[in-house]
Amino acid sequence: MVGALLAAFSVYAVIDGGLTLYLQRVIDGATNGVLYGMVALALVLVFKATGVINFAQGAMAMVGTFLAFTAFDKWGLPLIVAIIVGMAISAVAAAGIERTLIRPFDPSNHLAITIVTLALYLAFNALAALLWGFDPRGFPSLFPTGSGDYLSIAGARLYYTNLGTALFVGLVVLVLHLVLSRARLGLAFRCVATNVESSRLLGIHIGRTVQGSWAIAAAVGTLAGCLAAPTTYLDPTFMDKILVYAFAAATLGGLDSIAGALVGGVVVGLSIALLTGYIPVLGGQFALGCAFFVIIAVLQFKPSGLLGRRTQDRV
Amino acid sequence: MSELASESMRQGELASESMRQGELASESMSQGELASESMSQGELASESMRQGELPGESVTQRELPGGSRTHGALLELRDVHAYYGDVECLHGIDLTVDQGEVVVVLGANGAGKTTLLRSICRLVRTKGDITFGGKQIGGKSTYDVVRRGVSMVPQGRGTLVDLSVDDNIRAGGYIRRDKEVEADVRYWYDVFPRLAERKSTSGGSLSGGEQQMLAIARALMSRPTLLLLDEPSLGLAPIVVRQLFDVLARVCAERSVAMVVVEQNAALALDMAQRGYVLEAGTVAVTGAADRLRNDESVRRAYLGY
Ligand SMILES: Nc1ncnc2c1ncn2[C@@H]1O[C@H](COP(=O)(O)OP(=O)(O)OP(=O)(O)O)[C@@H](O)[C@H]1O
Ligand SMILES: [Mg+2]
Repeated sequence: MVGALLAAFSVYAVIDGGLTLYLQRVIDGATNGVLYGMVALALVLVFKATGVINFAQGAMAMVGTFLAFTAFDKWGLPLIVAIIVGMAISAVAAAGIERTLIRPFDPSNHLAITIVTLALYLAFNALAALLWGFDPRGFPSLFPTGSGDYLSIAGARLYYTNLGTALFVGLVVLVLHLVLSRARLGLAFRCVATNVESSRLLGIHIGRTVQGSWAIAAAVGTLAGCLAAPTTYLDPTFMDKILVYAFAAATLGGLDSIAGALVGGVVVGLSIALLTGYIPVLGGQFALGCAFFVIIAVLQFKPSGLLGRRTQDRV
Repeated sequence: MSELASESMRQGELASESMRQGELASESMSQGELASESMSQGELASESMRQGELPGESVTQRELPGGSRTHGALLELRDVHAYYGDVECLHGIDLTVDQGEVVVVLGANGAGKTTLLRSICRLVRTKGDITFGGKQIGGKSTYDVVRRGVSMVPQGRGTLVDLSVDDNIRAGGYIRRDKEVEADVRYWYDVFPRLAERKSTSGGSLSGGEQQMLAIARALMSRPTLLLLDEPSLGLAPIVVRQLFDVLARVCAERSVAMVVVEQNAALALDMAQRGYVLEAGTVAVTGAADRLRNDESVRRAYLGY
């Protein structure tokens, strides 16, 4: 259904503004979309393990990105190493947060845990403002960003940054897939996501598994932040909008589906690029409204999302 | 055979555990009242004391011949109370299971059978002594107890519905890191060819009977010394139940796995078991050898229906 709508709209768009402009908007939308998808993926990882949305996911990624920036700018590490350091610190910090602030709560008390994540969101924002201030900073890109660094597709520009971002997201998905399907932690994660009590009976440590998912989600979030920051500038609020789009993406994908998060991200990215691009009355400011609309519509009409689990558990 | 080797490894483990029983004895001595009481007094004396504690209880515990042994049991519960929140659901249960022994637990709905099994594998808060392999497990977590050799097939089968059948079985061996996991997986596919056929379908798409096979394979994949089964026959066709019980009896005898079976199908369970307990309202009402229970007037009327 969503696909058909997009396709119909695309035909209109091509006729309206020409192929080149259309392709350019698709490229930009899809690139933003995979980043939303990546943050959505982090949300989904935590949601599957705990049944809770981590509202601090974006703020954690923001702090992680600042850490990577510090490692690059102050400590003089090569950018890629600095990003890895940022991811590692984020993972360790998230593991610590899970252990000290999340685990003490009854895991079935979702409301309490959700409120803790909201508090964390505020705390991280305050911390970042305190440490780094609100002046936006330019974050270096991992990829060549010169004016000539693009591939031309029917006149539209596919910058190496677009390609590189997509490549990194692909890499993350591949690694995650391998961890989930091959590693012991992956098996434990899938068990806990499916049936906590059965997992307990298999000797799986629920707390440590949830902790692992927090850590991995934080690292993925920080990487997404580092990939997004070169185009958005880095300040304590730069992940806020992205987090809202990621919510929309995760909701659209079905909240418990990793593939769904990515697909959802791309659909949200494309929708925003095309709607705000081709419907002048909407303008750039409608982007957030667009995400909001997606969330409401999905929850109303298809709560399980595009790829979410529909079947009820058998007893 | 390699399978046997690791089996005896486990037994060695157990032996060394019981070597440390001296340590344990002194440990439980310091736990005060309960332990020292049962150590200093005869079994009967403490038995009658406990009955005195339950005034107004319509059933007094009857012990039929062939009842429990008290020394060297694999699992031993002494005056175990279980709680959901503040509500007490088990009111002082005594129960023993020997190595390789099959024990059946009967009782009406809500009698506390599931709670009893959940007490043993630490899914519910309890008071009282629970020892397994000579070690106190009353304060331990499920995580620890599973690693000591307890495994449970929960009521409702506990299928990991999103995981493939293969992953369900492998998840059963989660705590193992030895080299024979693969051999065990193949073993269970031999035992239940039906599962081999549906290897890569999701656990949730299996029929009830298939899920019960899966649950049994999963539970035994950890190579437990004690298997807890909560109503394995629930909702299954009689012929399937027969097959399942045959497999269970065979495998558990081969590997000398002790079993506690909660069953509504009392006739079948009593056939397989050496001893049994009848729970009523959170207490043990009757206990004794399986054939004695089968011939007991009240048990027959209440659970065998003739
Ligand atoms: N999660 C729970 N919270 C509160 N009370 C519970 C809970 N589970 C069981 N109980 C109570 O504990 C008592 C024993 O329940 P239990 O499930 O052990 O019975 P059972 O013998 O297994 O019954 P059935 O044959 O129906 O499975 C019941 O009175 C029940 O209401
Ligand atoms: Mg029950």
